[in-house]
Amino acid sequence: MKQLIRRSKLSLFVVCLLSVASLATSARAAPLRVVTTMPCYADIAKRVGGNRVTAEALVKGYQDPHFLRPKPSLANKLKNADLLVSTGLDLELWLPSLIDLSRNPEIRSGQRRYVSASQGVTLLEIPTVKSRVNGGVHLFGNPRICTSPINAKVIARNIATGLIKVDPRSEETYRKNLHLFAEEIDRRLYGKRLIEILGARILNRMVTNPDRLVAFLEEKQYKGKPLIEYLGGWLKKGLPLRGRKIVGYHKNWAYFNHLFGLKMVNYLEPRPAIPPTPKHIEQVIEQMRQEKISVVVAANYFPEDRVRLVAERVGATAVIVSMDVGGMPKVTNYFEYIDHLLDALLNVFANQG
Amino acid sequence: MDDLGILDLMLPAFAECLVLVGIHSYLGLHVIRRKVIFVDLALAQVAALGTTIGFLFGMAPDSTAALIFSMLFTFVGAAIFSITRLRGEKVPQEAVIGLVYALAAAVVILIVDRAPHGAEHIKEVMTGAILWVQWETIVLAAVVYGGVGLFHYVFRRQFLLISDRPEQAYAQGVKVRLWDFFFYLSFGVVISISVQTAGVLLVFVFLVVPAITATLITDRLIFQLAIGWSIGTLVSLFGLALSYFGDMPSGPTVVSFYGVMLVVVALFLFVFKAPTRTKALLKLAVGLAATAGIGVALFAIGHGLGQSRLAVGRAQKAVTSQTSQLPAQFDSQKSEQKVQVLNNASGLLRALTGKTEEQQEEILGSIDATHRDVLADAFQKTDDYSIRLAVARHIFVHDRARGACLLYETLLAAESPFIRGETISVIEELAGQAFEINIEKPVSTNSEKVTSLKAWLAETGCRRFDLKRGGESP
Repeated sequence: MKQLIRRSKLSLFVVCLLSVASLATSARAAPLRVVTTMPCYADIAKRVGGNRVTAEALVKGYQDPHFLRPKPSLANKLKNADLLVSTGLDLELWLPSLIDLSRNPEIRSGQRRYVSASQGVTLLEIPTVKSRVNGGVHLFGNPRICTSPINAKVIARNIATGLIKVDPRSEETYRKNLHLFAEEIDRRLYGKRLIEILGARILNRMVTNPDRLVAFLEEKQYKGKPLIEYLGGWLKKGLPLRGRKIVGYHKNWAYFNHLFGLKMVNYLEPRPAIPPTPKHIEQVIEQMRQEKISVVVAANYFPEDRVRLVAERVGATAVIVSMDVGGMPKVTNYFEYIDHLLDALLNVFANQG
Repeated sequence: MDDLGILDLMLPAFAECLVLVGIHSYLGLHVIRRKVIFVDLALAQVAALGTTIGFLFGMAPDSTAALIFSMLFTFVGAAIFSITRLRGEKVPQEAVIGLVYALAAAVVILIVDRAPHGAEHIKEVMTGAILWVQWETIVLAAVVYGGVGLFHYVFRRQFLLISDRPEQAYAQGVKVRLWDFFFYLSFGVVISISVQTAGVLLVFVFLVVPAITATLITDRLIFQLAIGWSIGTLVSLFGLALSYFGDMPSGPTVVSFYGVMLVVVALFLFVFKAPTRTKALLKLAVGLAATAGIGVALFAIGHGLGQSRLAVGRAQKAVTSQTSQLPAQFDSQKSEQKVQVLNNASGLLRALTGKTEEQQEEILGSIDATHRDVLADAFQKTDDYSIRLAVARHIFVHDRARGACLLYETLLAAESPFIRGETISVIEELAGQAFEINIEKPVSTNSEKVTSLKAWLAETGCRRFDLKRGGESP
């Protein structure tokens, strides 16, 4: 009997020792340093990685990601990166030379510590004629994938896959966080009630064609009321935007427009990344008058006065938005970013009546 | 339509050009005489540095505070330039001017790099935005330039003397350094305003080209001014028109047109002032022929090197023309496809996915009774409830027991209240009676309510309905 007690005490002691040791090692392991190109990837990486990672973006939310002035600190960040997340398309053309400079071969595209955020995203605006004659065309499709929260879930999945590859011991945490993030996006996109009624799986399948989803919600009934009345979240908030015509500055709105049904009928740039020319501006102004378009929207890194000038010509309103997380002081995370885009547009239409 | 044409769009730009021509053609003459060609670039950059540092202290770049800031910096620049004009001139003043430009530009980049829109801001300083100029800006510029012009007119004796014959000015006891300071000061005020709208490039040609052209033609100031003004006006007019009709960026078009104008005038003068005209004309012809020859040669080289790329382009064209024929083939395959749909579950599912209920019914209606196994197979292979319901409903028409069992299976597997509701409504429609099932909860948890439904299932012939994963017909 005594022996038995002693033995059990001993085993208890061993268990205690082991657990303390494991606690100590997990506490000692420094958080992974995730470096991303776009701020929205960094915010998503923080959510998926939780306290296991630190995430930092190379591009600021108020900068044009096409152009980044090379600075020594950027190369240093890449040198110390445990994981690099970039769009993986032809947006950040400055990145390869920066990686060369960093001497961190493992974060090169295709290597172990590299994540392509756009993997698995259904790309829009894929050009049929691949030529630079049409301006700064993106050959693979529009690279501003963060503008749709549906893509945010795909990006989160890609980041989680990368984190698990680099840090397999925390796999469970990453999977749990990924699940929570996807749930949060769903809740903010459709509203809690509609998910209860329809199920997130079905909604997510149907949202690949947002117009059809909305038509479905309007047509189908639940307990005597059309489903659309149970809709909440961003989609509900964005309903007044569906079918509205607006003019943009640069072609970086594809995924937002697709989800919220906005019709961006023209851009101030005659061709992507080619500055506005007099004749083209004249055409845009003419079109806005004819089609009674009352909103011009632009990211805050484009020349604001030009946008306002064109808008004033036709009595329209210029909407200047933050095109990513951190582009304006009030846009501190991804959810606020989507809120910000919606609010900015909705406010104008509300004020115009 | 409203009168939104060339006038509405280009008139402000043209007015701004005229205002710029007025003062810059005059100041350009001074600049040429003093041999300080790049002083405008340097002063513009110093002004930009002022704006940028103002921005660092929280002043918006286009506010009055920022303008005052840039003026203050311009004063410092003017002071530097008037102090560094040395009598002996061991170090040419152009060196100081270049240095000031480089330092100011570097500091601007250092500061701007930490601020939003940094890169755009720097680009703007170079190219300007004359197309976007506003009437308030033009009026302000006109007033300020007028003031500077008046100042120069009143003290024309001193200004012309120190620009033309500085040695004589020193000899006469004129305070050269003081008047130099006033010159650069007024110059800086003009530059810091004009660069904001026209950009460094445009301001530079406005300053230099009319002055050079006029100096080539005559030595008398009043004629030089007249020539400079008329050339400036003409070039602005044609340059902006070219920009409009050719859809080209306005600032650079005017700049290039100025260059063309200068070459044409120079060539004309070369022939006109030559001792023997025929010889000069001959030289001109040879020169033009040589230029044309070089052009042709360059074209040939470019064409030769570009050949391979063109070939690729042609090959791509061939591919696209092939794909454009595809839809026609597709149509002819359609009837064949229908047959395939009938005996292949995955083909049927592909055909049903993303269709409206009516379309689904039509597709299912084209399937005859002999292919019922395909239907059941398709039912098991999909998890899309709407396809499941359509297929089960179709099976029900031919085989009540099997259809009812499949519908019950859909009801049990339903993942959300809405799908339970949809399934129940199909069942109720087919049964012709209401079952009052609580769709908020899974069917298995409100089993007492399911009695009447089970009775109906038994009646159709579907017996093994108690199975958790759906029923099965006997």
